[in-house]
Amino acid sequence: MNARILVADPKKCTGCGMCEIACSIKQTGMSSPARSRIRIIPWGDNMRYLPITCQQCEDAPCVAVCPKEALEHDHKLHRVAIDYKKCISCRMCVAVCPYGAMGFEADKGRIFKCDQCGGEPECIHWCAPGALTYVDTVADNLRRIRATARRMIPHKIV
Amino acid sequence: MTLKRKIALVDLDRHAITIQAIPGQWRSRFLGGRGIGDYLLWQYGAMHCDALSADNTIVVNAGLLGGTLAAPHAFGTILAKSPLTGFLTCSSLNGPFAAEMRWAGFDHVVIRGRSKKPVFLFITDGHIEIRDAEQLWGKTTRQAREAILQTLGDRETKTLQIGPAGENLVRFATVMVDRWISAGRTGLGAVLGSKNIKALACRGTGDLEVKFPERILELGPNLNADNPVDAIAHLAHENVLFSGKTIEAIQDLAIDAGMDVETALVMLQWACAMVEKGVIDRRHTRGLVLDQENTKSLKALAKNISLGNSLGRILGQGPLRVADKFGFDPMKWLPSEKSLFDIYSETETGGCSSNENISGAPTDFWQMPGAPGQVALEELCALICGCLGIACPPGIEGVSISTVFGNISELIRLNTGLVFDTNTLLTIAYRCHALERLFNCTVQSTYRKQHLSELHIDVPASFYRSVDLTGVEKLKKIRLSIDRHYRLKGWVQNKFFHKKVFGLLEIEDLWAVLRKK
Repeated sequence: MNARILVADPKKCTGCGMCEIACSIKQTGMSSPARSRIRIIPWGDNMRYLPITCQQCEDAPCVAVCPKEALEHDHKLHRVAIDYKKCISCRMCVAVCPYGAMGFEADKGRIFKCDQCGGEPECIHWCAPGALTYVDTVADNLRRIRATARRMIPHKIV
Repeated sequence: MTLKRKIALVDLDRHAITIQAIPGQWRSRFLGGRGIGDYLLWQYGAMHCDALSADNTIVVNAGLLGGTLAAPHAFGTILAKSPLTGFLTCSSLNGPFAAEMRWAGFDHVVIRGRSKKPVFLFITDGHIEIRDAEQLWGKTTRQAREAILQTLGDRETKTLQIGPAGENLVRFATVMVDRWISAGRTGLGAVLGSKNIKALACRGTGDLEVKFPERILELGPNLNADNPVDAIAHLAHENVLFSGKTIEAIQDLAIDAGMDVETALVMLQWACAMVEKGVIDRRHTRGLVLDQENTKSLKALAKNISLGNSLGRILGQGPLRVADKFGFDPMKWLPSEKSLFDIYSETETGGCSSNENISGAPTDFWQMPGAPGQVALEELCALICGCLGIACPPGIEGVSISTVFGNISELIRLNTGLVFDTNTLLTIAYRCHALERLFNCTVQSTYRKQHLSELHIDVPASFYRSVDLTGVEKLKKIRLSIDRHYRLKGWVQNKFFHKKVFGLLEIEDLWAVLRKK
């Protein structure tokens, strides 16, 4: 099975925040954007938004920095997973993540990150404009290649 | 819990803030949001006051389902006595402000009194601060928002601010939610301005527990059909004849100044017509050459309105007060009679919205003059949605009451665990509607004594006379429709209610308040 990735398209995102709430309800049973594994970042003065979540990096700084090897690659789902039995909540991973996609729940004393809901991300179901998709990397690449090809082929031939 | 939110009472005279819990009994009587807001306005508002005085009370509400998947960024409401109409105005706050209020722990913020110097309120997890806003005074809505975000150092903060129009008490000044979303076209911006409040800023990082999270996620996005973004971009300018370029320029200016775009455009067009007919001359315009084609002069006049300068000071009072100065005759040059209704009434949908209008008539009667029953249902549905902070379900025409309210009932149960059947919800909606009507009936007696004596809660003949030059037949039809609508709801013109209605209200505790006021 090819790897699947969570793709965010800022052109489609309306900043409605449904993904944040759905994520926090799925993960914690509560509506709380502060605990959401995906965050919507507004920028500019033009109603632009960018959903940010864990990129499940191959060369993940969080995995590299963890002193207890509590973070590891899950090759089946192509994600970085947390083993809470090993985690000591030192928050080194939170500090080192370049995306700021790892968080810490002070009341529970534990770190959190997007686990792609075990292969079925809840956020994409709630994204009405279709800004979030969970796609096969090969298929997604092909889609982009086709789109580029359409722009490159002279209009007359098409 | 979704129910464990607080009410904040902000007394600007004493710079004191009191925080109290929402009694469970209020939930069963008024649900939340607009419903409890109405009740709070009754408790703390001074209904016979001048709307721009320190005595007017403003209530900012988040609905019972705000911040849940039923309504993540849907509607809050803002309630006060309107400086334009003199009646209660309830305007929808689209955008994320209301949900943020809930995450900060508050469902209602009641603001009373007047601060001696400009301030803004900072609402954050469980507490509220009154902060100095001297540096913000005079700034446009966008500049003020940017300055607040920089001061607080958190760009996730949601804001609700006024512009120069609100500061200068223009009677159709709006409040802007975040950058683009305007609310309160009947002058709620001026009410905030009269209290020396430049803005409310809110940042919440708390939790809202939902009762049945698994079931809600199972149901998926079909749970609601709410698309908040659709409501943001609603700006219709069917009443004016300016070019697209002029409209765009005025719109930009009005958003920055924090005044209602539609009303500003109508006032400008009317001013052009009055100049053409010689009602307004160069003495009034201070040399400004007003012409429909002249974007520059129209922009200058729009700016004067927002700053309260020369002719702008008069136009900023709204058409009927302008008519007080120039006579009712020039009202025939208003773009249309509909434009007058549009200014003084507000609809539940759209960027600038509210419910009741000058006549207490159905909100959308222009569209549906022949279907008062449907309108009544839509009004009740809109009220319940206002209590919950969710968007009104689209296309309820032809759908049974039990279906509409059954779905709403299920949304409430899944998110809060509270169980309400259709009849109970209808009763709550009716109760809230009655509270608003009672408020308006009560202020009406004082209102008549003021200079806007032409206005009347039941759309009197005198009001028709002021506009009938452009459509007598149409207005008669509307009047008939209003009569049928009133009968359906149990309203009686010039009296509060039919006797049987009192039994339903369960607001005996307010009679004492009513007697005092």
